[in-house]
Amino acid sequence: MSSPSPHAGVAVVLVTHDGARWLPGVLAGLAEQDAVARVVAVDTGSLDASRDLVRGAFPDADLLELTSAVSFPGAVDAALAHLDALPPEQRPEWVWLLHDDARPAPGALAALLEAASDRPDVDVLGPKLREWPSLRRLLELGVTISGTGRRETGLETGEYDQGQHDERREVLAVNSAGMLARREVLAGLGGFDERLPMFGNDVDLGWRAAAAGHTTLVVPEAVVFHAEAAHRGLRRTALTGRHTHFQERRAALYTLLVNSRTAALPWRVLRLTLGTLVRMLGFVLLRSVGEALDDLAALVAVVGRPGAVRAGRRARREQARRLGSAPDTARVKALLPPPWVPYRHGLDFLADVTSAASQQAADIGERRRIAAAEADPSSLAAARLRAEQARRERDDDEEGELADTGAFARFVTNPVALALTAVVVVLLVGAGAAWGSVSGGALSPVPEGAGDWWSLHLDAWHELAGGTDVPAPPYVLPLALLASVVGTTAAVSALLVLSAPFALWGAFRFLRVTGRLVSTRGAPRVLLVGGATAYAVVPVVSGAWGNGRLGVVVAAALLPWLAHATLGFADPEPDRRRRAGWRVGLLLALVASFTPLVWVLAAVVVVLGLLVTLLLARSALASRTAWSPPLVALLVPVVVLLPWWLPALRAGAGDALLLEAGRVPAESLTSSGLLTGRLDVAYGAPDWVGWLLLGLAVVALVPRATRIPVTVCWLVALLAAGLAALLAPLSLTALTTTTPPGLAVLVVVVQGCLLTAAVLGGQGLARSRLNSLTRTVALGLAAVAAAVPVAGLVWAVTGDDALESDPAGVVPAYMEQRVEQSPARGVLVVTGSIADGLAYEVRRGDGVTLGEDEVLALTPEDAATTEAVRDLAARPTRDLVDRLGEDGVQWLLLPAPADGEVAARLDATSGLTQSGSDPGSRAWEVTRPLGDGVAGDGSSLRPVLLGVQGLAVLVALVLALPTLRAPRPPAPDETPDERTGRAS
Amino acid sequence: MTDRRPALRLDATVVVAAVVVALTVVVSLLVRTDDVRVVVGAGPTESPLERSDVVCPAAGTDLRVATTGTAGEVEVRAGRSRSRADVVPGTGTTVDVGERAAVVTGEGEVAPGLVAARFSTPLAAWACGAPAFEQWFTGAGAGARHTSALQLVNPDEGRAVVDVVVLGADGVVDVPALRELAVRGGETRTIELARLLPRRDLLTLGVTVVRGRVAASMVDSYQGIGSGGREGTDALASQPAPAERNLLLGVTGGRGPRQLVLANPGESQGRATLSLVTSDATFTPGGLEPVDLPPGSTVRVPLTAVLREAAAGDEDPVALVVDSTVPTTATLGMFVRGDLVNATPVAPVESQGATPLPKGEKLLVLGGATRPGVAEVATWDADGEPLATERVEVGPDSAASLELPGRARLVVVRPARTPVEAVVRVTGKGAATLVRVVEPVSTGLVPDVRPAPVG
Repeated sequence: MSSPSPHAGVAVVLVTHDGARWLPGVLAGLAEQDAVARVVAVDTGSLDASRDLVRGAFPDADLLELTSAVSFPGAVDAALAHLDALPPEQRPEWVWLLHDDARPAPGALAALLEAASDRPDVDVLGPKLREWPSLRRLLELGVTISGTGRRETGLETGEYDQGQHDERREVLAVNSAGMLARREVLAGLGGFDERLPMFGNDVDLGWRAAAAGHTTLVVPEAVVFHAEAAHRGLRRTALTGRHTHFQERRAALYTLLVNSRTAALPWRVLRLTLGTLVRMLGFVLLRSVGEALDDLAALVAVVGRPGAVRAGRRARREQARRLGSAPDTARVKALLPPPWVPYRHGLDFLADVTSAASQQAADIGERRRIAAAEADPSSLAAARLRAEQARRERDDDEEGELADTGAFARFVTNPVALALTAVVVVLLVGAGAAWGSVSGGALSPVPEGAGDWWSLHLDAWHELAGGTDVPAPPYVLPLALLASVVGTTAAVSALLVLSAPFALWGAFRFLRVTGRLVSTRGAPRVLLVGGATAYAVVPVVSGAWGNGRLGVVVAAALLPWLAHATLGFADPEPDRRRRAGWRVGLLLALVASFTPLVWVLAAVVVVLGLLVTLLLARSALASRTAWSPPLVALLVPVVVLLPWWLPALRAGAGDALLLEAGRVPAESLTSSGLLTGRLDVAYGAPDWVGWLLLGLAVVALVPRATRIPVTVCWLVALLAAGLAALLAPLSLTALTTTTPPGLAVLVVVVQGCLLTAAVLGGQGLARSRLNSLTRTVALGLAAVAAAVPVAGLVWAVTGDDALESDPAGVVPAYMEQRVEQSPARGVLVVTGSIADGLAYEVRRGDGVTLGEDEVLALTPEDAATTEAVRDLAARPTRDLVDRLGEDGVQWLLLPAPADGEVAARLDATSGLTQSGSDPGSRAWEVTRPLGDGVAGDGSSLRPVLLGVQGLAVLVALVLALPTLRAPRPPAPDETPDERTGRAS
Repeated sequence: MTDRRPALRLDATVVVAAVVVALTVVVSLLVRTDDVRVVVGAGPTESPLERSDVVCPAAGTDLRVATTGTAGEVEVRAGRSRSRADVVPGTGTTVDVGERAAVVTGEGEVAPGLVAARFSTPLAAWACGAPAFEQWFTGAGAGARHTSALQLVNPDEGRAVVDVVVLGADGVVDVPALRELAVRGGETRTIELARLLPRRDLLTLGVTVVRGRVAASMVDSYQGIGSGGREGTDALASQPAPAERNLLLGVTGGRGPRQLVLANPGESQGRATLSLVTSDATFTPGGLEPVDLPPGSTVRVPLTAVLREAAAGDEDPVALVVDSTVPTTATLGMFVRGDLVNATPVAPVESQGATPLPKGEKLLVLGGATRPGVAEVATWDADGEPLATERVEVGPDSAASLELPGRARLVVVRPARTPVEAVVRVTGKGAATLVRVVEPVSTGLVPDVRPAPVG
C-alpha cells in the first residue's frame, strides 16, 4: 500500500462541536502543518462561533454542517462520504482526524507521513498525545484494553514527557485525535462504530483494524496536544451525557463483548460482572460512589441489552466475510495487554491505600511547620524550615548513593533496626507460653471454629446455660474476622504472641512523630527504642499478659496506634483532620470493644479538652473542622458498638460496659498499682521497675524545652487516674462473683503517659546544652532509664504466667462429643458437697469458650433453676427429673469428689440412669423426654443493629481513608459557564 | 541577666506541672478496688426429713419398728413383698418379714425419728440403720472357727457398687472380688468371708459405697471346734470412720475370753493406749500396755486377764477407751455367759436416741459425755405403757449405768448439756448382747446451691 507521493493527498478531517474555546489554537496548529491537501471540517450543530472560526482560518475548507444529533462516528462517516464523492484523482490517500480540542504541534503531520513512508505496511498511525494546556504531561502513546475493560496507556498518571517513551511501536489502537489512516482502510473498516458515539470508539476501531490484518503504529515524533474536553466533562452534549464515566465504561464493556471470540463470551460476561463488583468496592474506598454506580449502570446497560451486542457482533462478522479472511486473532492477542495487568493494578491500588492509610499522621510535625511557615513566610521558623529543606535535599543526594546498597546491607548497618529486631526476638521468645492452643487465668479456651464466634455475634439469643439474651461482647466480631482467616486457636495465640511486637512498632512510630511534633529533630533514636520497648512490655510486667487478660493485651497493642491517629487532629489541613476523626473513631471502637473504659476516658479527655480550649483559646474552635473530628471520633464507637451496648442495657447486663474482655473477676488494683503499673495478680514484675519509671517521668519535667508536652502527658495520666479513682470503689456483680471494674487498661494508659513523658523529657535533655555537672546527672539518668526496658524484657522472658495449653475438662469425653453435636443438650455439672455448699452450671456445646464466658457471667442468676438444683440435691423427685429433661439437660454430673449423699439420693431417683464417669465422679443420664429448654427468640432488633454496625464500619472505613485522588484542577481559563456546559 | 539555672525558675509552667504531678500521684494513691469476693457455698440448712429408709439385715426374726416422732404408717419392703405398718411413739411395732432383709420407709411426717431393730435367740441384736457411704467392720473372721459374713442390702431400684478393703494382720489383703462389688437394685448380697479368702488372722473390712446406696452389716460367729471351744453368734456392728478416740461401751466382767481388735487403715504407723472407764473415772490398770499399730493392718489384743483383774477390783469397768495416734477402728469381742458379744463404738446421741429392746435383763450404759450433764431415760413396755422415766447424771471420763425394767421394749435417751453414747446390755438365758441406742435422723440437710463461677 505504498504511496507514490507521500506528501500529496492528506485530507484533514476536523470534527467540531462548540469548540470555540480551543479552536483558535487548533486552527493555528493546523495552519503550521505542511502537507495538508484538503481540510474537511464537520460541525455537529455548534451554537458558538466554531463554524465562523473555521471559515475564517480556512476559507477553502469543505465545511459540512450537520445537526447536534450526529455522533463522532457519524461525522467521520459524513467526511469519508464527502471525500468519496470527489473525483478519483482528488480523493486523498490519507485521512488525518482532528478534534476541535486537539492542537497538533508543528511538524506533527510531517512526522506521521515520514513514518508512513518508512513503514509502508502501516495503515493507521497515531501521534504522541500530550495534555493541553499543561503541554508537558503525557496522555497517550497508543492504547489497548485490558480484560477488565480498563483503557491501558502504559503510562503513569500525570507522567511528564521526557522522551522516555519515544520509540515507534505497534499498538492496538491510537486515539482518534490526530489519527492518520488510509482513507480506503478507514472506509473498508466501516469507520467508527455508531454504537460508540463518543468514547472508546478508537479502541474498537483499532481492534477491528488489527483483526482485519492492519498495522497500527504510534509515532512519538508527532505530537498533538489534547484537552480531552469530553472525557473531563468540560464539554457536555446529549451524546456524552452527564455521566462520562458511565459512557466510557459502557464503551469498554461493549468493545470487549463485541470483539471477543464467541466461545469466550460467557467467561467474559462473568469476569466483567465480578470485576465490576471489585471496581465498585475500589471506588467506594475512594469515596467515589457516583463512579461506582456508573460502573454498575454500564454493566447493566451492556449486559441488559444483548441486542446491541448481537448487532455489533453481526456487523463484525459481516465485515470479516467481506474481507474474506478469518480475524487475525494472533495479532490482536499480541497487542492486548498481558492477563496479569488488572491484578497488578489491583495490588498497586491496595498498596497505595495501605501505605496512605498507615502514613496519615506520620509527617504531621513537618506539615504543621510548613503550614506555619506559609502563614508567616518572614518568620524565623520559616527561615529555619527552608534551611532544613535545603539540607535535606543535600542529604537525599548523599543518601541516594547509599540507597544503591542492598536492603540487607542497609538493615545490618542500621542500629535501630537491629535493636528493634533483637527486642522483637526476645518478646517472641518470652511469649512462648502463648504459642499454640492456650487458655488459663482470665482467658477461656477458644471455640472449635470461627463459625461459633460468628453465631455468638450474630445471634440475639444464646443457647448457653439456661438460654440468655445477653449480647455477645463486642470483641467477638474482630476475633471472628481474624479467626475466619487463621482459625480460632491461631487467632488468640497470634494476639497474645504478636501484641507486644505490634505495640513496640506502634509505640516507636508514635514516639517518633510526637518527638518531631515537639521539636524539629525529634527524639534521639536510642530513646525511641528504649521507650517503645518499655511500652511493649507494659502488659507483661503489669501481670495482665501472664493472667491471660486478652482484652488488655490487645488494647495495649492498639493504644499507641490510636494515640498516633489522634495526632491527626492537630493537622493543619481540614480534610486530614476530618479523616483523622473517622480513623480515631474506628480505632477507638476497636480498642473499646476489648476494653470499654477506653471510650469513657476518651470522652473525658475530649470534653475537658474542648472545654479548656473554649475557655483559653476560643478562636481555635471557630472552624467546625477543629472541633467536629474529636466528636466524630467519640460518636463512631457508639454507633459501631450499638449491637453490644444497647442489648446489654436492655438485658440488664449494663455492667458489661465497665468490664474488660476475659473472665471475671477483673484484676484488682492496690493503691500503688496505677503508678507502678502493676495489677494485683501473681504475674507482675517487681514494683521497683515501676517506681523507676515514675521517677523518670517526674524528672522529665525539668528540661524546659519539653516541659509543656510532658505536662500534657501528665495531664492525661491525671485524667486516667481520676477515672480509675472514681470507678474503683464500684463492685460489680457477675453471677456469684463480685468484681471491680476493668481498670487494667487505665494502668496501661497511665504507664503509656509516663513513658511518653519520660521520652519527651529525655529528648529535651538530650537536645539542650549541658555542662559537665548536668552531663554527669544526665548520664546517671540514662543508666536508670535503660534499666526500665531491660528489666521489662528480662521479666518478659523469665516471668511466670497462668497460661496452659490443654486444660483438663471435667466433663467426660463421650458427653462432650454428644452435647457438642446438639447445642440444646446440656450437662448439669454440680460441684461441692452438702456440707460446704453446691455450685452448678449447665454446660452446652464445647464448654464455656472465649466470649461466652462474659455472656454467662453477665446473665442474671435464674432463681428457678437454682431452686430446682437445690431440690434435686436435697430430695430429688421424678418431677424434677422431668423438668431437667424439658430444659434439655441430658446428663447430670457430680465431678470428683462427688458428694456421696447427693449421689445416693440421685441413684434412688427414677428417671435417672447411672452413666460412666471418671473415678470419684458420678454421672447420670436423664432418661426422660428431652425438651428444647434453651430455645428462645431474643430481640428481633438485632438484625437492624447488626446492619447499622456493618454500615457504620463501612462508612467510617471509607471516610477514614486518606484522599488518594486529588480532583483534577480545572483549566485555568475555564469559566463556570463552560464547565456547566450545555445540555441540548 | 544571665540565668544559670533556667530549669528551676519558678514560672507558670513549673507551677502547673508540679500541681498536675502532685494531683496525679495523690489521685492514683486513692485508687483501690474492693476485694474480689467469690460467693462460696454456705453450710446446709436443716429441714424436716421428707423420707427416711431404715435397712435391717437378713438376720434374726421379727422386726421391731418404733419412732420418736409422729405416729403414722410406714412401708416395709422385704424382698418383693411390701406391707404397711403403723408406728406410734412409745410403742414398738412388730412386723413379720421372715428372715429376709427389710427396708422400712417412712415418708412425710413419719420420716423423722424412725428406728428399728431385729433380735434373735440366742440373744443377738441386729442394728438397723440408714444406708451409709463408709462403714468399718473390725475383727471379722475368715477361718474355720471364726467366720463372718458381710451382708450388703441395696434398698433402691438402681444398681449399687461398693468397694471393700480388707486389712489383715500383715497389712492390706488384696481381694479383687471385693472391688467394684455390684449389688442389684433391691438385692441382698451375702459374702461369706471364709469362702472368699480363707485365712486365720482377724480382718477389718472397710466398705465404701461407690455408687448407689447400700446398708452393710456383718454376722459374726464362732463355732466350737475341739475341746473347750466356745460358740456364739452376734452382729459385728460397724463404725462410720476410723477415729483417734474409740469408746467401747458395755464391757462386761466375767470369766470368758475378751479380745480387743484394733485396725489402722492409715498409711502410717500408730500407737494406741487403752484405758478402762468406770462410773467414777478413767484409768489404765497395770499390764495394759500401749499397742503398736502397723499401717494398714489389724491387731489383736488379748484382754481377758486384764479385764478379769479389773472387774475383781472395787469398781466394775463398763467401758474401754482406745486412744491412738492415728485414726483407728476397734471392736471388743467378749464371751458373756458363753455367748459372743461384740462391742463397737456407737455414734453419740445429741438430742434424742432410741432403740427397741428384746426380752431380758437390761443395763443401760452411758458414756462419752464431753461435759457434766444429765440424760433422761424413758422406757415403755410391749404394750406401749410407759414404765419409768429416770434422770442419770453423766460426766466426762466416766460412764454411768442404769438398770432398766426387764419388761422394757423401748428406750429413749434424751441427753441435756452434753452428747452421750449409749448401749443397752441385755442378758438372757445363757446369752447376752449389746443393743446400740441410736439417734434417728429427724432432719434433712438442704444444701446451699449457687451457680458456679464462670470459667
